Amino acid sequence: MKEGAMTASASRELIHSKRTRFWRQTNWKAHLTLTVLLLLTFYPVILLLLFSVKNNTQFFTQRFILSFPFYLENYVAAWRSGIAIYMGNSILYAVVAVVLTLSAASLSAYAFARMRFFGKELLFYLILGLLMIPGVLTLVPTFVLMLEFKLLNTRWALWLPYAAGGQAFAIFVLRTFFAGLPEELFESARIDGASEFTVLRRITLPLSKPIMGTLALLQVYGIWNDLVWPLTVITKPELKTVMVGLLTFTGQFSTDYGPLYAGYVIASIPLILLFAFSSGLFIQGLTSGAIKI
Amino acid sequence: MEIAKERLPVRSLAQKKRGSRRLLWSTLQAYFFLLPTFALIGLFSYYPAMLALYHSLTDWNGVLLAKYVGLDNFREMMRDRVLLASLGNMLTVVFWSLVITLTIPLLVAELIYSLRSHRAQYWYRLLFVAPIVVPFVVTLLVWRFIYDPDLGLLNALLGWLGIGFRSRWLGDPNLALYCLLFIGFPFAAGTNVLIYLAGLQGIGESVIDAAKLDGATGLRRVISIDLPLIMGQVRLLGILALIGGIQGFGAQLVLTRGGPGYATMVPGMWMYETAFSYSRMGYASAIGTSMFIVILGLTLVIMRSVESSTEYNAR
Repeated sequence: MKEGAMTASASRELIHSKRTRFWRQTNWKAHLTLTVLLLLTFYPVILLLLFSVKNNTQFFTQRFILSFPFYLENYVAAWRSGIAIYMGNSILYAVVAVVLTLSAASLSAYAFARMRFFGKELLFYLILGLLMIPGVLTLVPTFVLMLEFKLLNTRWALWLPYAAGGQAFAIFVLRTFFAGLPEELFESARIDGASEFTVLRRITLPLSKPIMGTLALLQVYGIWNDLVWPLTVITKPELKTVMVGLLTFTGQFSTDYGPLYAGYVIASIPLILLFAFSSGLFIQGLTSGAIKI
Repeated sequence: MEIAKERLPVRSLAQKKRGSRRLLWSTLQAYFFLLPTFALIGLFSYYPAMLALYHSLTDWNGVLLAKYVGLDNFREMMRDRVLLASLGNMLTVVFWSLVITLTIPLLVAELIYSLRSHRAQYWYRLLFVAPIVVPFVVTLLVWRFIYDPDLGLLNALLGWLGIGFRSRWLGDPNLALYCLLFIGFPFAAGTNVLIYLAGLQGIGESVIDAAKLDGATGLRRVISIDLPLIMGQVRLLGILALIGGIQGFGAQLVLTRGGPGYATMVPGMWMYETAFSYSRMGYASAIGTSMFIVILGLTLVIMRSVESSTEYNAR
C-alpha cells in the first residue's frame, strides 16, 4: 500500500515536472501571441466565407454567426455574372507578362553576369535608375502613350508596361544568381564551342528554375492585385481584370449580399490554388536571404 | 605596373588585335542580349518619365497641343488648397505605415524565430503568409463592410460591448483617414514577416551563442544584435513603406475618392483626379514630378544614412 502510494505520488511529481518543463520549453507566450495575431488576421476571411452562404434574411437577422441552411446557390449566381471572364483575363495578363518579363530579364541578367562588353557599368546604372522612377510619375504619360499608340482597351496596354516594370527587380536577382554559378560549367561549355545563347539555354536556365519560379510568383501576385493601371486603361467589360471586375460586380450585387461575398471568394480561388501548389517554393525563395539591400 | 610592362612586348600585335576583336564581338552579342530589356524600359519607363518632366511645364488636356507655361503649374501647386491638405494626410500615412512596417511584422518574425520546434516554425510561417491569396480589392471591400455604419461589424461590436459610441467611420471626416490606415489590422500577415525572418535566420548560431554568453538575451539581444544584423531587410522594407506611403492611393480610389470633403485626399489621388476627372494632364504631371523628386531625395538620404548589414555578415 505504502509503496503504491509512494509510486503514485512520485509519478504525479514526475508528470508535474514534465508538464512544467513542457510549458517552460514551448515558450507559451510566443505561441499565445502568434495565435491571437493569426485569429485577428483571419477574421475578415472567416467573415467572407460566413456571408457567402447566407441568404438576405439570414444576413439581416444572424449576420455574424453561422446560420443554416447554407445557400451554396450564391456561388452559382456569382459565377453566372461573368466573373469567370475577369478571372480568365487576369490569368492571361499575368502569364504573358511573366513570360515576357523573365525572357527579357534573363537575357540581360546573363549579359551583365557573364559577358564582357563596352559600357557595361553605364548600362547597369540605367537599370538601377529604374528603381528611382515611381509609378506615380509615369502613370499619366504612359496613359497618353497608350492613347497615341491606340493600345487603350487592348491586352498590350497591360502586358507591355508590366513586362517593363518587372525588369529591374528580376535583373538584379537573376544577375546575382547567375554570377554565383561555378565558372567551370561555363568554361567547359565554351571550350566545346557552345554559343553564349546555348550556354544560357542549356546550362544557366535549367539551374535557375527555383529562383525563376519565385520571381514569377511575386510578379503574378503583384499583377493580380494591381488596380490603378487596369482601371485606367481598360474600360471594355470583356477585357477587365478581376480587381476591376470586382468593382463592377459589387455595383451589380449591391444589395444581394450572399452572391456578392460568394463572388469575392471565387475571385480568390486562382491565388489559393497557386499558393497551395507553390507555397514551398515561395517561402523558400523569400527566406533564402537574397531579398535585401 | 612593372609586371604589365614586362609582359607587354610578349603580346604580339596580332594577339592584341584578336583580343579587341573578341571584345567587339562579345559586345555586339551582349547588346543583342540586352535589346529586349532596353526596348521595354526605354519605351515604357524612361520615355514616359521624360514626358512627365516635360508635360509638367505645360498646360495640356491630353488631346490638343500642349502649351508651354514654364513653372506656372508648380506655382499653382503652392496655392492649391486640396494639394496642401493632401500633403498633411500623406505625412500621417507615411508616419504610420513606417511605424507599422517596422514593428509588428518584425515582432512576429522574432516570435517565430524564438520557437525551438521547427515544425511549429514551419506552420506559423505558412499561416502568416497564406492571407496573400486574398486579393487586395477584396480586403478593401470586406473592410468597407466592417466600417459600414448600419450593417458593419465595428458598430455591432461596440453595441455588444455596451459602449454607446457609434460612428460613420469612413463617412466621418475626423476618423476616415485613420480608418483607411487601420485596414489590414493586425498587419502581421504577408511577405514582410518572411523577409524579416530570412534576415534573422541568416544571423547564425555562433553569434546568438556568443550573445547569450555575454548575457544579452530578450529585448537586449533584439536591439543590439538582431537589428544591426538585419539592417539590409529593415532598410528595404522601410524604403518600400515610405514609397508606398507617399504614392499609394488604392484604398482611396476604391473607398473614399479622397472624401468626405478632402479628409482622406493624398497627392497621388489628387493627381489621378486632376488627370482623369479634370483632364489637366500638365498639372497632374507637375504633381507627379514633385512626388518623384521627394521620393528620390528621401531614398538617397536613407541609402546613405542607414548602414548596410553586409560588413557584419562577413564575420
